[in-house]
Amino acid sequence: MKLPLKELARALNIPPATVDRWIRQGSIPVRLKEGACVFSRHSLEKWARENHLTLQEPATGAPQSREAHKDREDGENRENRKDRPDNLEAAMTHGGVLYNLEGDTVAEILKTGVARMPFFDSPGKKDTLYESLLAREELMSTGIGRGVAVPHPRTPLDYGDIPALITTCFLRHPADYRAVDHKPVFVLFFLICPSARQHLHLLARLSFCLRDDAFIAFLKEIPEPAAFFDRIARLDQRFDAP
Amino acid sequence: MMDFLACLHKIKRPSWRILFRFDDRLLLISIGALVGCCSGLAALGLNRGLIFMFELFSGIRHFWWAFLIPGAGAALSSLFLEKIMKEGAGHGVPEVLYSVSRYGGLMRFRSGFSRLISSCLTIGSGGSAGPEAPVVMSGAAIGSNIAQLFSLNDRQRVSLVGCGTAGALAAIFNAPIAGIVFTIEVIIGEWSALNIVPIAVASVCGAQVCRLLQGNQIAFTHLKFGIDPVDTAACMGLAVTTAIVSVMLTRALRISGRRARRVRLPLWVKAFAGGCAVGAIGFFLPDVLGEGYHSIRQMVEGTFSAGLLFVVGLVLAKIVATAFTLGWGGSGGIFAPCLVIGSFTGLMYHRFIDMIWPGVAWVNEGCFALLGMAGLVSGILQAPLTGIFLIVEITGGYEVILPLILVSAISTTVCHAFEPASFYFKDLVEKGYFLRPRTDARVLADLSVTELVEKDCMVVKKDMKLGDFVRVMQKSHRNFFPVEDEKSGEYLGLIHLDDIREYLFDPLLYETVFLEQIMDTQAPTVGLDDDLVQVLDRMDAAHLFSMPVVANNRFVGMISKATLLDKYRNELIVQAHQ
Repeated sequence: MKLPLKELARALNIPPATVDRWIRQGSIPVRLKEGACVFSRHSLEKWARENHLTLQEPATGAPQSREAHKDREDGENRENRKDRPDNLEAAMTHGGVLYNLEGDTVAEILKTGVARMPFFDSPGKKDTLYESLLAREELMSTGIGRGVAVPHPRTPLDYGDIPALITTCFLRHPADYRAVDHKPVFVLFFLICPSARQHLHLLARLSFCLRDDAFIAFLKEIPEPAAFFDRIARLDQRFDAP
Repeated sequence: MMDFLACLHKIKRPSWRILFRFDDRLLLISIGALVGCCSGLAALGLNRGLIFMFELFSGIRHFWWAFLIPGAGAALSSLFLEKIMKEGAGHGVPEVLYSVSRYGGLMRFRSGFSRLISSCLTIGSGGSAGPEAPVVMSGAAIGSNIAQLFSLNDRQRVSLVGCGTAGALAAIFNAPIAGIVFTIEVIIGEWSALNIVPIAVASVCGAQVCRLLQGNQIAFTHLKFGIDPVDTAACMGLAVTTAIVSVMLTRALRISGRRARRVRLPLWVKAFAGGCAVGAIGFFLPDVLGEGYHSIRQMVEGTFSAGLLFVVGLVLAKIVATAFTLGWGGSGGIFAPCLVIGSFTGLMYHRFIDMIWPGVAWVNEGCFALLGMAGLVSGILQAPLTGIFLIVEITGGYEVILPLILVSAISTTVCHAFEPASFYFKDLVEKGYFLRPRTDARVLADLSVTELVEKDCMVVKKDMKLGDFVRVMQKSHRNFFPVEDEKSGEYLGLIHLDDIREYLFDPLLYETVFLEQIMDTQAPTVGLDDDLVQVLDRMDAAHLFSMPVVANNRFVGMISKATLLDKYRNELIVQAHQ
């Protein structure tokens, strides 16, 4: 097999200067030919195992290995997707916006909210979500004040193919949600994430937005979905700016 | 012509290499055999040269001005090394060790013959030194250059340097086992099958070349010795005596070298002065001149008739002569003087115990001379196995093996108490160049700052406000933030979160504090070429775990003890598996 030095170094997760020195010293079964590393894949894998190193699939090389690399990358992506933090706009678009949610008590509001969420294909999933949201509210209200509540499960709920999402629900009538400031709640952000990392990431962004008086005033106007998402996208840009 | 060029092209194109690449060992054994033959020939060349020089000067040694001959020889040798070869004086073994330790056995082509010529001039003219270290250097350089010719890597080159050493030593002493043992014990410093096999083959080749061209001679033949337990017991005293003499010789060489360095004269003048001093001693005591094998032969055969006081005088005179030859700029090895002084010491000891206990039937004095040689070689080199095998082989005296082992072991131990590093290693140890495989010093010498530098730091500008910095900080997973000048890009200082933690939670400061005001401009930095041992010492002294790496006033990355441990372990594992 033939690879550029940098690629081989990357595959071994070792600095290129070290790989270069090891080749020069004869510590690694690789030789340099016209600036490229030439080696037998089998011997190098054996050597890596003996030396407590891992030889990852090199990025370039024979065409089949490139494909294999792509496949592996896809697999990794699938695996890591639940850990990759999303921005608010993506999560809110996934979750959608519900208007005129009925309910006078915490339990009723949660029940109708979960019932109207479109992305659960079985009633069992909705029941689990409802129960875990209710359990969280019994622990301490998620009404964080200024008429806003952020109901979420106590532990991340991984539904497999459902990504991190925030469903925004505007109540028909502001209701008593046992909020920390005892004010009636008019909007709820159902925060459902497959991982704790994503949960914290989205919660941090959301709470930052909710500290902004202008945003609260904007929410009180019960904006249309397009205007709402547009506003969220602009807020996201502030976070993503370098 | 075209055919010839095509052939050359084929040789250059490595079609023949494919055969050897399939097994590294086969390659090393084959080239090792070639190296062994070449270094054997070099050793024989020096031997013949010395015989020629000895015959050349034997007719004029009795003239009063003969004391100038060793001076002239040493001066010529010094001029040759300094002006023509551009190399330093000395015996050569530390140079080989240095090259093996630091540069994977890389040696210059001219080292293959420079010491042969210079030592031939020094020793042939009567200087008190031996031909072994020069042939060792020559053999090593031959091995190294053949390895370079075949574009081999460092590990293979070190093996071939070992092959050259073993071949040369095996040829000059007709002692193949001593060649192998000396190479492994002193030059390479590790016993691994990968090294031993090619070195053994090279040693055989070197000895075979010697036997083909000058017959299978044992250097110092002797009568049969009948050793009684009382002789073995007496050897313990001999061992201690040889150890004391070894220490005396080591210190005499060092003091002489130090004195010579203080004298502000051209090197060749110093060598001339040293040589003349040796010539003057040799005028009265001719046994101290040259390599001195003739005297050894007489002592081992038991025909050296001098009395106790005269032998004591000879021991001291030979030590002084050797110190003058090697310390003042002559070229040659310590091996042969060790053998001569050792045999004198053995003889001296025999005369002494014979005087105290005249009634005891001691073994022949030749046996003590032989054991004395082993004691001195083991003491000076602190390589007991080399002492044992060399003496067994050059005297053919396996029946003395028991006292021989005893003397070598005790002498090495006693010497080690006085001189922790052997004569060959001392300078290298002092300079920090003595790097045996898989030692801390070796691992740290192999790793470089470039290999350890971590480049995932977020660089900030000096005009950045604290509030903006807090946002940058949220995205970084490091505690260190190097500060650069916006325009010139020069490194200005470092921000460590620990230092500014108290300001971070005070939003009032966000808009009023600039990074320039809170950065540490005195944080110690590391250069890309800095020695890792010194870097670690600096980290320890300042209780730091990380330091910024700066090159040409630009920030390159951070170096941390955590990464160092990671890479250190990798390196150690790789070296252990080599």
